[in-house]
Amino acid sequence: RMTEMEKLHIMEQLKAEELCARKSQFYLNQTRDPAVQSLLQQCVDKGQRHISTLNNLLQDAGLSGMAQH
Amino acid sequence: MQFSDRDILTDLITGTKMISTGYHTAVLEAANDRIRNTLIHINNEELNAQKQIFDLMHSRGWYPLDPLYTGAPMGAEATGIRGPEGPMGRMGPGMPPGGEVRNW
Repeated sequence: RMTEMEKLHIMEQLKAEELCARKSQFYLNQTRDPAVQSLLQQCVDKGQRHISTLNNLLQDAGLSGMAQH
Repeated sequence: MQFSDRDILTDLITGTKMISTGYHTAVLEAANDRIRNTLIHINNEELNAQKQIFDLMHSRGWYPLDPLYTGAPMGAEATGIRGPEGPMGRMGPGMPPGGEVRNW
């Protein structure tokens, strides 16, 4: 259902998405610009969506994904 | 520490580029069709996000771009060169290799 290489890539992307979502959340408190805030919120939402999708891929292959925050 | 909006967007666009590169490599090395298609779908969302960040940065002058250098000789009004000899001799700017005389 999944190769070792696929698992490694998915785990790597999970870490990158997690970092990006956390940074975007942090930056949300650093700006007052509505356009920048909107982009940051989109990045947070996108990151959480992608993390969920990647976790589902791992779980479908019988692996445990990253804990949701 | 306070970050400027430009700092924030620069970090954000760098992050999306790195993430997209990761997905691209993952797609290339995916054997399972379902996994491959899922990664392609996620990467497309990432590319769209990168474009939105770029558009905002570009609209504010935070993503400077150089126009294409074509190698074509610039007009005399820009270079100050009035003839084939030019102020820098026969091989000055605007002179083709070999030094043959052309009247632009």
